Amino acid sequence: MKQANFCAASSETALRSSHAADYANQLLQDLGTEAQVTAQTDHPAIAYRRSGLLQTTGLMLPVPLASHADGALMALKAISSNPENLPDFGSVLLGERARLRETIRKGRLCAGGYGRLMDSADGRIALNLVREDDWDLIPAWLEDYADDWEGIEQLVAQKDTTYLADRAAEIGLAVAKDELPSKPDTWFSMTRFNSATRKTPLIVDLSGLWAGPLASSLLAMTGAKVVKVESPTRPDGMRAGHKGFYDLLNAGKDCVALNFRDAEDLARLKTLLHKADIVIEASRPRALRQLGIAAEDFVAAKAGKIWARLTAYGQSENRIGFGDDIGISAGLGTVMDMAYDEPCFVGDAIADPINGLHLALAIQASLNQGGGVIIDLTMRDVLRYAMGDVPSDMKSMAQEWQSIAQQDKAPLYALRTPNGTVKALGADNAVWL
Amino acid sequence: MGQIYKPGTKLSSTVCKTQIMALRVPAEELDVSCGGAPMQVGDPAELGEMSGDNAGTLVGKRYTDADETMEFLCTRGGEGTIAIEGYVIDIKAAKKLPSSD
Repeated sequence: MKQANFCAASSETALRSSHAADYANQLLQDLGTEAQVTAQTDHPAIAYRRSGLLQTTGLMLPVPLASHADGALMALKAISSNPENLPDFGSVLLGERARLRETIRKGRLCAGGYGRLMDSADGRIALNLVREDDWDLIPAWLEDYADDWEGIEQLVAQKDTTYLADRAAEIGLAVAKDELPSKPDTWFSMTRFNSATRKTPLIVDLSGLWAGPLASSLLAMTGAKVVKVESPTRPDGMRAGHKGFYDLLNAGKDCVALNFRDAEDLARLKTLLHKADIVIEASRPRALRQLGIAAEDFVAAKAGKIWARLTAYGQSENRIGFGDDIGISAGLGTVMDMAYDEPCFVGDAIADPINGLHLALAIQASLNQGGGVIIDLTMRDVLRYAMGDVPSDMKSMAQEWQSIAQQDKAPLYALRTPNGTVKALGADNAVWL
Repeated sequence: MGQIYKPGTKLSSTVCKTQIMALRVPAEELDVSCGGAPMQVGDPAELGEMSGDNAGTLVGKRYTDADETMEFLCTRGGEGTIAIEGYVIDIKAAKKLPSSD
C-alpha cells in the first residue's frame, strides 16, 4: 500500500518540470529585468497535449515550445503590476484558434488550410496562399501556369529552392524554405531614445491578424487602453473569420477607421500616432515609409514612447510571411522530419501566438524601464528562440514525450471566453480623431 | 512594335530606373512604355530622354489598367510613368487581408 502510494507520487512529480520557469527567467534576463520566477509546471509533453497542439498536429513535437509559451506568459505576469486578468496558461493561446475552428493538420496541408509543404528540386518549401488573389500570382512566380495544388507541386518539383524563395519574395508571395536555422543569440532588438514614466499607457495598434492584436490584448488585460486602427478599404481580415476568436483578440479595444491613401486621414493618423504611448505595427517596412511615417521621428518627438514592430524576416527585408510558413522557416518542419521522417506543420499559424506573447513581454519590460525605444521582433527568430536547443536524438525524445502524452487522460486546458464583443469598424472615430 | 509577354517577365525602362514584372497579362501583343519610351527585357546600356508628363513609379506597388485585365508589379521605382498602348496604368489597391493565416 505504502509502496503504491510512493510510486504514484513519484510519477506525478515526474510530470512536472521547470522548463517554463527556466525559459521565463531566461527571457527576463534577456530583457535586463531583476524579476525571477520559480514554479514547477506541466511537463512540455503534457502542456503540448492539453493546449490542443497534439490534436491539431497529430504528432508530438520533441522540443518544449508549449512550455516556453507558458514561460513567456509567466514572465509577463512577473513584471506586470496587474497580472490578475491575464490567461492561466501561455500554451493555451497556441492552440485556441484551431480548437475553436475545429481544424487539424491534414498531411502536408496546414490546419488553417491555405499552406502546403512541397518538394522542390533540391529541398522543400512551404507555400501559403492565404489571400484570394495570391492564386493570380502563381504564373508570375513559376513562369508557367498551374490551376491547382497538384499543378503547382509539379512545377515546384522542377525548380530550386533559392529560385522559388527569391522570386516569391519579389512578388509578395508567402514562401518559406524548410530548414533548421541555428538558435539566434537574442530574440529582439531595441533602439533607445529618451525615457519617461507612463502609468496607464495608450496603445495605438496598427497591426492585424493574430500576433500584434494578441500582444495588445494581453497588455489591455493589464490596464492599457488600446485603439485599434484599420483601413475602411482593408480592415483586419480576421473580422471576416471566426467571430469568437476575433472577440478574444479584440473585444474591449476602441476601433478607429482611417483611409491611409487619403491626405486628411493620413494627417489624422499621424496625430494619433503622436498621441500614443505605445505603437504596435506589423506592416512591411516599406509600407509606412512610403506613407511618410518613420518610427524614429515619432519616438524622438515624445520621451518614453515605445514603437514595437513585427516583421516576418527582419526590418531589412520586405519578404512577407504568415504564421504557418514562418513556422517552417524557423525549423518546425525539419524537426518533425527528423523525429518521424514526416515533415509537417506544427500547430496552427504557430509563429503568430508565440510572437504575440513575446511582443507583449518586450513592451511591458520596456514600459517598466521608461520606454523611449523602438522594439523590433523578427517572427522567424522569435519562434526559433522559443523552440530552444534541439535535442540530438529527436526520434527517441519524440517517442518518450509521445508516450507521456498518451498516458495523460486529463481534459485539455479550458478555452478562454471573450470579454465582450468587438466594436464595429470605425466605431470610435468621433472619440479619437 | 507590340509584343506578347509571359507572366514573370521583367521589363526595364529605357529612360529611368523603373523595372516592372508582368504578373497577369493577356495573350495579345502589348505596347508597354515608361517615360514616353518603349520598355525592354533587360536593362538598357544607357538611359534615353524622358518625355511627356511623368509622376514616377513606386517599388512594391502593383499597376493595373482600368478594367484590371492586366497587372504589373514595380520591382524597381523610377521617375517615368508606365503606359500600355498609350494609356497610363495606375496603382492597384492593396490586397485584402486574409480572414485567417
